[in-house]
Amino acid sequence: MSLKVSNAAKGELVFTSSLFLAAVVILFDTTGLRQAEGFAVIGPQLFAYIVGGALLLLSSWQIIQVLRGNLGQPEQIEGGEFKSTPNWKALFLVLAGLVFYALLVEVIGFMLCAAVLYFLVATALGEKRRLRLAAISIAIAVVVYFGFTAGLQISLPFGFDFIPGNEPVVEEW
Amino acid sequence: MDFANFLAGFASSLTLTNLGFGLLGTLLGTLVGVLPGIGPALAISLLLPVTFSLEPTSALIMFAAIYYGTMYGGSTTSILLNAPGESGSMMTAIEGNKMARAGRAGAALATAAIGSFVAGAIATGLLALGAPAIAALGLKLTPADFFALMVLAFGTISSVMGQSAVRGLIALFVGLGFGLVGVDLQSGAQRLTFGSMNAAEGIETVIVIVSLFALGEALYVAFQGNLGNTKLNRFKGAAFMTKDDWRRSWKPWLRGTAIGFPSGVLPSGGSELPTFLSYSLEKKLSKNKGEFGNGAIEGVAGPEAANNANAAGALVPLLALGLPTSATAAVILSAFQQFNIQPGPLLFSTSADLVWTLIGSLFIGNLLLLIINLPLVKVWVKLLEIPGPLLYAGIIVFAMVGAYALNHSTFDLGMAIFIGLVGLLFRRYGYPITPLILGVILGPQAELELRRALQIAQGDPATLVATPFSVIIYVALALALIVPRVLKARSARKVAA
Repeated sequence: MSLKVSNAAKGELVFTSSLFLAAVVILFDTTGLRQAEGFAVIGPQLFAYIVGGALLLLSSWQIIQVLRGNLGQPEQIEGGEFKSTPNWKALFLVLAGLVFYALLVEVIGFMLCAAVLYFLVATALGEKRRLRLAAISIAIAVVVYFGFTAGLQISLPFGFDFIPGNEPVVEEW
Repeated sequence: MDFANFLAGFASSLTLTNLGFGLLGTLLGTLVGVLPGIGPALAISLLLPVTFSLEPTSALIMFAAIYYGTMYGGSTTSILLNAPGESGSMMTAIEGNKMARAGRAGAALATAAIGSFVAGAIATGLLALGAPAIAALGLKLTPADFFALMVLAFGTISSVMGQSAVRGLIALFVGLGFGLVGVDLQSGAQRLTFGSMNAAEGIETVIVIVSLFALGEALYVAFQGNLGNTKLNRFKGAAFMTKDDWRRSWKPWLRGTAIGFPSGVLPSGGSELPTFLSYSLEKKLSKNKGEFGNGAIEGVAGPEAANNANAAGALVPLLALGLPTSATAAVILSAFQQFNIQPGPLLFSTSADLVWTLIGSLFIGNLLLLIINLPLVKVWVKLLEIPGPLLYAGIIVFAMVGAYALNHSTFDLGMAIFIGLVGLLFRRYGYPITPLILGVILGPQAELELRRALQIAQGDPATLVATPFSVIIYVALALALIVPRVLKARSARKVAA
């Protein structure tokens, strides 16, 4: 093991350790399960112990491998190429779009959220022509909204329920 | 084969409505399959919400068509775009790309399409013959036997794919861990819910699939990818084969089918191995070996047929035993479950009409694909010109529509983002996604069978290997772990030689 550890190795070590942590959480959660009152020989614990235990062993093994320098090869990208320097800004843009959508879809409606999401993801992935992209984003959001609600009878939130007089008449389920 | 049922199924898949759904499915499937970055498993899970409001029969017909459609679409991408993504198309890409660069894209596309049709037709026929027999056998299996089968699927898929068996197994157990979340139906105990009401209902498999494939891929590409530097191979004229192309293609089609179908039925870890075997076989048998590596049509015809036959073969254990042997089959299983249909031995007796309509639709979908694809190739080629960023943004929006429309719950959306990040990390650090998916989808069932088996035997673990069938399966698992490695090492040496 070399003294100078690359960022990729550090990252993989953190990731593998979090798998180990997940195994600990599974095992800990299982010990806290209430034992069913004797009606079943095999309770909910057995399988959870197997899963947690196996993950614990495997991730420990893998941590050793990473420390020895056996790093994973990043997956290829279809229709593009792998860059070894990570683009944090692009990652945050995509995440921001997703979080924005998740938090606000029921408040300001599907169409606005989807347009923002589309715009942010495309920008993050390198689309430069902003004005054209904005138009495409809105068009896609509108087409998808009406395609699903009118075409497929699957309801999506229109939003703005907080404005008086704008409550949905019938909530479809 | 129950011939009367088969004909009835054929007849019902020919009604105008069902034919319409079949046609829609083939078009949607090809369309989504052509798009780079979308394999069959993601294509089906993205299109899942479209079927939420349909009748189960219509939905299944559409899935069947989408399934075959994405396979067709994938081969177009791998021939015209020098960037194979889906493992089954990797071998097609080697020779297909060379052919396309030499101006023979039309012949490559044609041999892929016709070969897929031939393989699909033969393999679907074998499916119709074999599945009922296997289902009848399935009725005699004990819970311990089923558990053994699931362990076999877990073991083969985790170890065949990916960079190392340990990585595959970790992916599997992470998936099984996701499957634990929620209220245990037998005891009422809450596992890994941490007091959350939403988590008590468990994590929706559709959310897991869409997030891992779509969100995970987009996050990964944003983080470490560079889109837009790929070259699109020129394609002029029509998808057409000369007499000589036909002469050279028909044997590889049949041989590819012969390799692909059995490897789909058996849990051999997806389409990677059969397409590889078919490619090396064609290379070995070819009279003009020098052409291999420079665009040999046999190298497209064989693997494409193997890929499609493999896809149809995977439906045998899925329908007859409820056992998925690939990521795509696992996604179809969860699609079935969405409609409260449980594939397995009982399916052929309880919902015979549905199964046979599905099989009939596979035949018709396969034919429709051939008819629409050869003339429409130019339309699909246009799709490859959509800029990557616009394409990925569209995939994400569609994925988030599906994630929300499932339960109208924002908790699901949060879960989707979390799992998307897991998908990003898996890709970055070289962990395979398929075992995770299989673990999530098949895990709860494997646990059920395990508990049933142990319950019957009053907790005696020896019951798990008490039947000859289960012993055979565990021996098969041991063989499945060893044989492909030997074969691969051997063929790799030959390819190199």
